[in-house]
Amino acid sequence: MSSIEAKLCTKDDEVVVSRDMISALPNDLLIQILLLVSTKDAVATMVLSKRWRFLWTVMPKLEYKYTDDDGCKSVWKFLEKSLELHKAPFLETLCIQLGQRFPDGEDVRKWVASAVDRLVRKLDLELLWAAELTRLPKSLYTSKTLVELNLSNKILVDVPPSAFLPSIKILRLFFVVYKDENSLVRLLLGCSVLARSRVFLGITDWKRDPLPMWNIKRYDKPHIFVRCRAHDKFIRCISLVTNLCLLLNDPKVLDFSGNTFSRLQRFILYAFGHFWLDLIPLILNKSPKLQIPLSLPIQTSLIKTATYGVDENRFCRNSTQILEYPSESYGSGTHHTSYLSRSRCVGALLIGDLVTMYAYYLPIVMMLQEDFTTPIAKLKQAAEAMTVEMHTDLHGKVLKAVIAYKMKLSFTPIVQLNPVSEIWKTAIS
Amino acid sequence: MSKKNIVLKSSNGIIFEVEEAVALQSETIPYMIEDDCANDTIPLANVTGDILALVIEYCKKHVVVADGDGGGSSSSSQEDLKNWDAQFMNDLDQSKIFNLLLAADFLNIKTLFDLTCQFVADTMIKGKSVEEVRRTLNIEKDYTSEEEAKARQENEWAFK
Repeated sequence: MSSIEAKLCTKDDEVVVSRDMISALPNDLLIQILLLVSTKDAVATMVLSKRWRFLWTVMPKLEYKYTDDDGCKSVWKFLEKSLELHKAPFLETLCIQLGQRFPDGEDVRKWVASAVDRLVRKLDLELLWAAELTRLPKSLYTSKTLVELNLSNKILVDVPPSAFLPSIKILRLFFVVYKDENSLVRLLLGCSVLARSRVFLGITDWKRDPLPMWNIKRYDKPHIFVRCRAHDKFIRCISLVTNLCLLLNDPKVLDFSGNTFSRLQRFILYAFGHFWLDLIPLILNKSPKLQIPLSLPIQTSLIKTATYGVDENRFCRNSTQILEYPSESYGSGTHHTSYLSRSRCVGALLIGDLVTMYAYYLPIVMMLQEDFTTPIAKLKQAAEAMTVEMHTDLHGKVLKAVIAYKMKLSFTPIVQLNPVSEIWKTAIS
Repeated sequence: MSKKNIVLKSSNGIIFEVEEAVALQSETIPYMIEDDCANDTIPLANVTGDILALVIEYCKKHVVVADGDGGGSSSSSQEDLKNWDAQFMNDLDQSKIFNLLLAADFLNIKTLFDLTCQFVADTMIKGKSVEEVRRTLNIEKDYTSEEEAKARQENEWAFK
């Protein structure tokens, strides 16, 4: 009896304090609110009161993110059960991010198939586990409703010949594994967005994925974005790519001979050592639409770029314009001359910031003076010339030297770098 | 040229006269103006005077910034506005918050609607236990203890 009294008592108190306003809201407003908390918190509202019992089951979005403190069993059970009980006829968004030690790919297949059946519009799937690859159901590749598809890591992309995604606007594939070269080509060709939008391809042989410039999550125009490992089976899709970025310790791992880059407009190369010299002409000569021939920060890193006072964002945006050379690879100038002789660009040399640079390094940055979008044809008209601009501090100490030069777009070396070296020597002596 | 004013009338008959730009942050009001052009006063049957006053306070604050520097409001003023929004919501009791949510929905003022939903989600539900949510929102448990225990047991997966 005392418990009833206590209950009445608290009830009276609550009436005095305030009423339950939230439960009186219409369902669609409550769902709007539930969409702003984690799926786990939203599902837990089912025991608040009878009013809330089934509310979460009609939410259009379910999101599961693995965190370290979740046991893998509990996340798995949660996914399994909540997807089973979820009632909305349309599941707009399904995001699943699963960590290591996850048990079974079969379940993932089932969840994805169920989302496709429920006309999913956005699907995010990130599987980080260490064990075997997960193959997704074929129905995914023929979804009529899918607008955005993000797949990453331990997923085996095995695309049927019938692949067709008529509604897709954004496709992102991050380090997934392709069953064969055809898989990626089929998938790209099946995307309605392909013909009218950019196709970014980033290839790396780094273990990690270090470049912030690759982060285009905020880019919301229709696009396709693929990141691959250098040994992946992507080569045949290369002719569909509009933007290519290579981040390579060893460019020799790629064999682009026999490929054409018929749609390539922008090309960024982060290469190390000298091997890139073989790769560049191969790409340049087969890329009829390339607007900016090349950019290659060599043996450099974003940290060093920051020493130039180039902020990271700007660097990311304009990195196709920067060529940076440490003195070792610069050497006698032969590599530089060799690169310049084969390139088709007009540029300027910026000799690094003397204050912050190690004297040992003497980096040279090459920049296009012209606007990013200026067609090569216009640049070609520029007269051959060289100007030198010295930046000094109050004591006359040289901070940096900018050497602008213009060169013909041929295979004849025009620029002699000796004068540059001499200027440099004068400047630091 | 004098600025055009719009007259709004709350459900309990309180009259507010506001600049057109303030009122037009609501996407509902333009339709009401078109439908009701003979009459200068727009009756808002779903919104009481105290809530309408809050809505107008919010809209006035936000219209100033939008106009401010020819549309491109600086980041500091964006920051100020964010702080103002937070303070605005913090000063309200629950009854006002939920009525404001309903008003923002009815008047179709997206930023205010989002702000209110986000506030409710962040301060009343996110990361809280079921009991805490119940207490915070004054939700009466209409399950019997047995029913709740059963629901929890059947859905054990949802509670770890």
